[in-house]
Amino acid sequence: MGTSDIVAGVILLALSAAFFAATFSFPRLTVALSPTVFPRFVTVGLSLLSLALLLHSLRRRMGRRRTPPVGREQPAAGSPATGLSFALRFLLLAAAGLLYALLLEPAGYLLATPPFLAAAMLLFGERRWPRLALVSILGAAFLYAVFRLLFRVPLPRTPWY
Amino acid sequence: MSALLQGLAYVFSPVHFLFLVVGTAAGILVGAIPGLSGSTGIILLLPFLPTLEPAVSLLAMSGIFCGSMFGGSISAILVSTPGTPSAAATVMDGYPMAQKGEAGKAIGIALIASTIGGVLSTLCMIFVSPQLAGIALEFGPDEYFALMLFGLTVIASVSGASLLKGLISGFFGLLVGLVGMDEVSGYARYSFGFPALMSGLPLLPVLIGVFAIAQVFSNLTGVGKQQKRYQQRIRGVLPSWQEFKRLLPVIVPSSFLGVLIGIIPGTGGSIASWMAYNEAKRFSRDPDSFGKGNPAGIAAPEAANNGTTGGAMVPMLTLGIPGDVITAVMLGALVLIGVRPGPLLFTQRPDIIHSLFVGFMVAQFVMFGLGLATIRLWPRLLLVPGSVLYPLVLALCFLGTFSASNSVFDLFVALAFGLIGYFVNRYGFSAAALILGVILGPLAERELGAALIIAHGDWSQLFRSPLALAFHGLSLLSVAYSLARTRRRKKTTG
Repeated sequence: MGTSDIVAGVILLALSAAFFAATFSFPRLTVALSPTVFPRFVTVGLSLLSLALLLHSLRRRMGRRRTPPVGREQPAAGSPATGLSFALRFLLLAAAGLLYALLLEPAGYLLATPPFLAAAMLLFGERRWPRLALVSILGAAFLYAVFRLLFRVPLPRTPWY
Repeated sequence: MSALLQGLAYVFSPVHFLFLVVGTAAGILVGAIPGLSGSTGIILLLPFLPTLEPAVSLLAMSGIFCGSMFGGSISAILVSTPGTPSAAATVMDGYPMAQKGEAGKAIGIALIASTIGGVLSTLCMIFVSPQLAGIALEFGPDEYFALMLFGLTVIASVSGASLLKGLISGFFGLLVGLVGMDEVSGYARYSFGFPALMSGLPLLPVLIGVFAIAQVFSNLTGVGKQQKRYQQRIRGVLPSWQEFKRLLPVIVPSSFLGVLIGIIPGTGGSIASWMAYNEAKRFSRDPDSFGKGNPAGIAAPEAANNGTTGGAMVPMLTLGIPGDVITAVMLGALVLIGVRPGPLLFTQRPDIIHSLFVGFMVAQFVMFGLGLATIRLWPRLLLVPGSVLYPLVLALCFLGTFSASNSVFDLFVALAFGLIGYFVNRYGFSAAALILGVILGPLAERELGAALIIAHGDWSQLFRSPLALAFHGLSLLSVAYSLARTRRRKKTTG
């Protein structure tokens, strides 16, 4: 947990510094609330808090004090575990989502959704091929029928339909 | 009174009633399935919303909200896995009862307690909301700003395990809320040249990402694990009259505790149910029996978590501040269909408010009827494989995101916030605080800007109204309480 807090602290510190620096390019207003005021309050606040997290985690890591890890208590439900296979599945699911978002408009809903569903099912451990094929094809077709045809949600069409 | 009668007529027209029943059934289902929750249920409803009247949408969402609170108890009792975080306390005594062959009675007690909690909280909502909306109508921008500031300091108290991480989450939410056009100057802040970012990060994809997609990613951890199942036959669904009378002194105070917790913005069912469980144990004549299948250990958390439903609706409806995670998602959904919750809703669209009041009450009884009728089906319904369910939920999340705006850009936003939401939960940050920051940040800045325009740039005007000062006082108290709590916790952990 310590390393993740250090990484989070560094990322958030860099993010808030970049956002703070960007406020200097904002126009300044002398009447009412200048568009720089609130962003500076937020970015300064976030950087101070991130710095506190970073220092707390570093201090704990260096073992000067036996301080409890920050926010160790996890919610009881769905506490995620770690492990390489999980990390790989996680990355592949994120990549599948990204690819789906990229392909949705050029390929159309009916063409892009079944492979995405199939990939997600595989990543969730589905190994029965008939079920995989049935759910991914019929699932996409059902969603398309309900939303495109019944509720008239303009879903992206395939090149030929 | 006549307005409520009109609401009654609206709710009981066949199509509207059907949406309420379907919403409640869907709520029980998403609540019962571990890995889905009431907020996921509302998110899955999003693609349908633009085709529905606002009042019908609210009816369906209310059904989902109330149903999911009870639904969470079913899997908590049968397979020791709370369907929603709010049902975590129910596991303590629900599962031991199921192990003793009393699963039916345990679910029956949860159902009765949930219904009573829901009815009492609906009554509180009906009586408190119009009064609060009446007061809120008198608010000027300075008072609104003070109120928003109070809402933001509540971040500290909802931060759960770590005050520091809760505050970081809230400030990160504020940072997200900064993206887009500044209302006073018209300057697009942090849009990085993307035209889509000029109007800010869209709220719904952010909500869908943080609450639904993040949950699907978390569910990847269950891959390969044996699905838990309940093997015994369910019988003896309702407790006896004597047992019911013994439980009533636990159910009623727990319900009111839930209402109170629900009204506080940013809190929710999980806090209320644990508090009610601990109080029931503290006041019990036989505290040692808790954790071993004491029916009061089910009644207290279930009455409290359904008690929060009406309570959480109060700040959402009257002030536009979500009372908990589900009402935050509901707020986003309402904004999508052009309904802006707040005091003006009570004067401009009283029809929506009255049908909601009636619908919320009716939802409790629909939940009771559906719960009773389906009790024996649950062991089988809980066997839907995750490898089918979660990919379909993910596809529906993307569909909901796309259908709200017809924009592929929103899919990227939802996915990005899904990943952020996963890491937020994984490393002990607070998703609720993040969303509170995203929603309240722009509102607070807008009210501050308006207050300063009225005051000709004089900041001291912000501290002149007694009501604003009272809110600032509450903000200080909220921060002081959180600091004291953290210090106390540090002392006890050594």
